[in-house]
Amino acid sequence: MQRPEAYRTDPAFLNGLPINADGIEITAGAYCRTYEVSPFRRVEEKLNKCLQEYCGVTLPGTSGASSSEQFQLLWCRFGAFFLVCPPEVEAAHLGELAKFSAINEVSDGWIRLIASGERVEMFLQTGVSIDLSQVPEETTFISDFNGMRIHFYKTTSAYHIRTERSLGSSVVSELQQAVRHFQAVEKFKQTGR
Amino acid sequence: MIAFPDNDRPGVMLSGALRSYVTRFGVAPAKKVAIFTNNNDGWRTARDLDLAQVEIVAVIDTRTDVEPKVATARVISGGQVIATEGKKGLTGITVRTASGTEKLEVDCLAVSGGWNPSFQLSSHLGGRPKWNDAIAAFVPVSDSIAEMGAIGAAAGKFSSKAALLGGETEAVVALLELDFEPPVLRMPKADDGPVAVTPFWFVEAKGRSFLDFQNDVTMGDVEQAQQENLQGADLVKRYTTLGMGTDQGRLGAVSAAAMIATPDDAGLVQIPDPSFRAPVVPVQIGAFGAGGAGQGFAPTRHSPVQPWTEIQKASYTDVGLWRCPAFYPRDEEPHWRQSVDREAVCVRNSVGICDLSTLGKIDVQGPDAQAFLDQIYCNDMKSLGIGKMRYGLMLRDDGFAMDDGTCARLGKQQFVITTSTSMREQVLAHLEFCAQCLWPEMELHITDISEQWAQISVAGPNAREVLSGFNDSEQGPENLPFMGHCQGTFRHVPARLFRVSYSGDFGFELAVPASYGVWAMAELVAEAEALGGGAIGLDALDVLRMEAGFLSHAELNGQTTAGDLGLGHLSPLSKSFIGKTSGQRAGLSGPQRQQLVGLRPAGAVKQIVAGAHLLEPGTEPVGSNDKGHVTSACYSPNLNRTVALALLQNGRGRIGSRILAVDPVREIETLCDVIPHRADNPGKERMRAET
Repeated sequence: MQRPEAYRTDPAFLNGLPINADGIEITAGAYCRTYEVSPFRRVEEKLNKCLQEYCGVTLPGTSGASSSEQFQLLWCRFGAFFLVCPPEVEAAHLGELAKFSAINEVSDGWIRLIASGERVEMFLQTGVSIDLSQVPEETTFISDFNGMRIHFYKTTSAYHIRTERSLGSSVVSELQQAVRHFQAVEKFKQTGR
Repeated sequence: MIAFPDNDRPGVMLSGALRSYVTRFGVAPAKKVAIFTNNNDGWRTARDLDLAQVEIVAVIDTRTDVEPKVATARVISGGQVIATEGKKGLTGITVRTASGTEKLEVDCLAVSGGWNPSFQLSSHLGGRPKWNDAIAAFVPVSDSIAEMGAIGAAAGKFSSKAALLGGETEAVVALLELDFEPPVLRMPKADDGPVAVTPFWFVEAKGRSFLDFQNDVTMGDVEQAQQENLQGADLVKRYTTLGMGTDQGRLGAVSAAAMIATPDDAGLVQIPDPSFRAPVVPVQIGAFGAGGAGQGFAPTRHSPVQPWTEIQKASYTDVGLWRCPAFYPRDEEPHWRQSVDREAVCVRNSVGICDLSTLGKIDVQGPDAQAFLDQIYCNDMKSLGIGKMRYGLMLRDDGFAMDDGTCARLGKQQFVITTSTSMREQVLAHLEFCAQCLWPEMELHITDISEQWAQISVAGPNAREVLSGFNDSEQGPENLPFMGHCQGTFRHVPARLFRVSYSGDFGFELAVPASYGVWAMAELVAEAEALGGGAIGLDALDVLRMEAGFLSHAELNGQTTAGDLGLGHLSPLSKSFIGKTSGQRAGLSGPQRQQLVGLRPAGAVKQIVAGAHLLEPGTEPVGSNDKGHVTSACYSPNLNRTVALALLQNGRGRIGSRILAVDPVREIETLCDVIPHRADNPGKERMRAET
């Protein structure tokens, strides 16, 4: 069902974006329809068939991702995946998918930020305990960022950062602070002061 | 320092400390002082004491060829202190000399064993120090750390003149590197005496010689470590805890290293070089968390309705990490009670709109979802029909209440349960543990959908009118039964409607996708205001739930059972559930338990204070007479008196009797009638009313 866009409110903290610094850019990701899909046991093959037929994607392995023209299927946690599509593209066959999985819409529950730039990995590394240089592209993972649980999706050009909506304001504040700190450290390394 | 027997007796001081007292503060810590030294710095102390006219009984110098540097001081060359005396403080010392032993009457012994340069910074950066025989101490190796140089005492040059010269040299080098012309400096005159130290670390004599005063480590402990075959400085440190105090081994580490030193192939004693961890000096924990105060202390969670509440200038309260509106003040309400009273009254008289988005909402789906929830909740979920919801109480495995909420059945295999705001993560973790570890054979999935939905309470006699925009093919506000729910749209936005009430009045909770929370809240409040109602905050909701006798964290405090809370009837013994077996233990039921009751003021004093102790009238207010305490209390503008809930020993058996609520801190004593905890709900009839 299409929803009245005029009634929808973007979170207030998105006004704090974009963040632009030397070689780092963080922007708000466009609103997209997101479903959490948790396959039931022993029917993964049937679910896979459905996903392929209706969405053009297949169930990825742990930390994996599968994409088609309009859909993405991202591993999000143990036994669960994000099925993502543009808001105008309703996942028309949710009923079919629901025969083989538990499905919940979570479009409004997560906010998505996109971090890109030549030094973005170096910057994110200051707050993430995973060695980002070892993470292949088209990989998802969960990590704390300064104490907050974040879902990352690494693409060829950017990191997609998903966080719970209620924590969005805190995450943006932390990113702003982390960028300032990163810039200060980089300046110190270059100039010694 | 020099270790010698009984060197922990009050009155034994570091020579430098004694000198500071005398020269910096003008204080003589003692009347008769002896100085025990192996270097010229001890003589500096003797000189300053002499200038301050403090009696120096003797300077005991371990060196045999020492020249007296203070004319009035007696010198004992080659002497060693082998004992100290005194009960509450030092009264005398025993000195061993070449000719025998001698007792000296002193009330202070100043000890100087030489100085150690502060090379911790270079050590942190990986620079290993080097032993310097001239000063019998480790010094940082010059240029071992790029762009770092040591000067003055840090480089092992202890005289003032050497320190000034070192500073000048390094400054000139730095200026030249920066292309500045260094000025010609005229350095002031300064002492330049040699340290002239002779290594002497400890006295070999009977008795307890302390190396580490903070951790009470003696030479005997170090010897014991070696006997245990713990070789090397690191192992000895860990075995004895030497150097683990805040002085970080500054006093005794080198002496201990000397004790465990071993000769090398050339027969030269090799003292193991120490390493240090940061920080060098105690650092306040707060400094590590720079930016970690205020908002930086912990992440803050905001409700999806927060942009609207900000515009309304709500006054906020913290619930866990959440920042929740406590009340919405108006210009004519200078006191918070006026706002809260107004909001509480408007629910009973018209309608109040409250943002409850912070409640945990968890979706449980799968063929075994119902069986799973039947185990999770102590009450029956098997008989819950589709389109219905039920109050649910969750117990911990020790039988105590964990959290409560509602459980709504959306479909044959789908349920949505709610948790209290602050228990969301714990309940979620509990459910995942149960699903993954206790019953892995069950087929179900648990999804936290708390963030997806903005949930707004609409409560009061006019609630139905406010929700007139809700559409569903079959059910809606006009015909939804109590504890029923349905899905539909609210003005074209997908919505869920629950006929449930935490205020104890006729009410609903409307859930819309979080992005529509601001819009829905504004719409509902506008409708409510047209009917004489308005937005209410958590404080008013708390008043309403106390009027109704409903539970909050104050009653679900981790120490209460279902029986204590008057919910024992929810737990049928015919079914199994988490906490059932433990809950049947002796001591978790019976009249000795504190049980939930309501209290109503019965005497002249009308105020009941949360936290007040409950006593039988006429008994002494001591712990042994304590019968329980008031868990929640507030003024009810709807009942025009204080309402209170309490946990009272054998509470249900005392209904109809009187009890004294005593708050000794605020000196408030209130005689109360003990009543059933849900006796006074003004909205009771409306809450369950058929539509």
